[in-house]
Amino acid sequence: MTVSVHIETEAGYFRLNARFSGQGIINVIGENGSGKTFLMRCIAGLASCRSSRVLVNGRDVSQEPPDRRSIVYASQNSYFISMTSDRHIVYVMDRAKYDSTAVEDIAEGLQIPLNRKMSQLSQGQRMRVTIATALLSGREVILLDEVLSNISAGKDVLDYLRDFSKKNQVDIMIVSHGYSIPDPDLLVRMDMGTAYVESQAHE
Amino acid sequence: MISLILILLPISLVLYFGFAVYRSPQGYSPAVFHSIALTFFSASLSAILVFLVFTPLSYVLSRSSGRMAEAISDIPASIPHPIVGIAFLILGSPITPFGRFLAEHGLGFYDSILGLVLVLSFISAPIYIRSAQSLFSSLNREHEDFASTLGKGRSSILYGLLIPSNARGLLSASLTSMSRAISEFGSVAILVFYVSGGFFNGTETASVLIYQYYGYYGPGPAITASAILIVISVAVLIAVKFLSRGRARTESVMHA
Repeated sequence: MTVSVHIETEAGYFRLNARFSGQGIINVIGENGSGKTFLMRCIAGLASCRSSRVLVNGRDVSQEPPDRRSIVYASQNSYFISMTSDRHIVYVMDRAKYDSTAVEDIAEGLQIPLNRKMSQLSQGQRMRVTIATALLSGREVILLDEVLSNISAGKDVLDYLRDFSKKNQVDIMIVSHGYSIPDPDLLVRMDMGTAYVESQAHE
Repeated sequence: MISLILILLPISLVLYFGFAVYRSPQGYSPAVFHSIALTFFSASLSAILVFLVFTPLSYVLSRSSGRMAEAISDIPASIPHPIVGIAFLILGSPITPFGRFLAEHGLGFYDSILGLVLVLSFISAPIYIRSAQSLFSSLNREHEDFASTLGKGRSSILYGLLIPSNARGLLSASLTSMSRAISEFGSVAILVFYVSGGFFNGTETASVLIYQYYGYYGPGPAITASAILIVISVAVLIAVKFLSRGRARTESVMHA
């Protein structure tokens, strides 16, 4: 499965220019203000872009609204405080694809305490719930914007994401600030609004 | 502090004169309590109606720059209320197609509960819309962005996420609009001077009754009845706020 991005747009004086295509675990890095979040929001359809072409597995979703792009955008505020953790995980679960064993599996894999109010969980635990919700939504692309930054010992989560991505043909874009994650399938560095492909794994 | 005194002074004056100076027996008559019951009944129905009809509008207004729609939703606040009563009178009368339609179904606005609830909703809507809109504007949009990229449409986000998680704020907005409806006089005096037929046959709303008492019997009965209305209103408002706080405390943070 592949996600292809070709975006050229500007917001005020800021120019965004990104052109890459990849699959599996895609890591986007860059300094503050380099345009990482803007790029993610353009891909998800949440920010308006002058010229954008986003292909999800060959399907052009550029003209679709955010709810029909099959792209999830999650940031550090992407959770629903009034829900319990298990209700949250199954909130948009793709029931054709996943069942209750998938929920148990993901709760165990991501170490999510079930039956707890989101308001009682720590930020790191909430982000784990957010990831689980996004994964089980059945969407083809998942954008995690600094979602891993608050997770202590993020390696177990990263390994889980890698496995999940392979097993379920989901492309996951991980935005991280300042550091890159180990062995991404594609590493993109953002600098002053321009995306540079740093390394790409070859199949 | 001075601003609080400005609010409390006239209220305590009414309470003092109503309960200590006049203590008019007429102020305690069953007619007064009937009328207060009608007032609360109609004001609660109108608050519910306003909540159902205008919550979606408030949400849409908070998410778009619809200046035209915003201006329209403010109009009821700027029309003299007797005019609102007259407008509803005409709307509900057989000279309009809508009024004829109502009449064919045995309904009407004049001196009816239906008219009372609708006119109260009309005059209290702007207050509700303003506070619900500012509540929705203050929410962090990233929750909604997440939900929408998860495939949820606008109405599902509104009814499934925003209303449940902001129930307390919306309830408080509804209570403000209900208070406004309780105090309404101008439009009600024109459209529904008293209710005819049904359970509340012959009953006026409290504001109309107090005005009538003032005209017929002077300040004594009017002020005593007003004092009773104030005490009951404050008790109801505090009770509802207290109940909703008890429930909301468990959900320590109130956003989507």
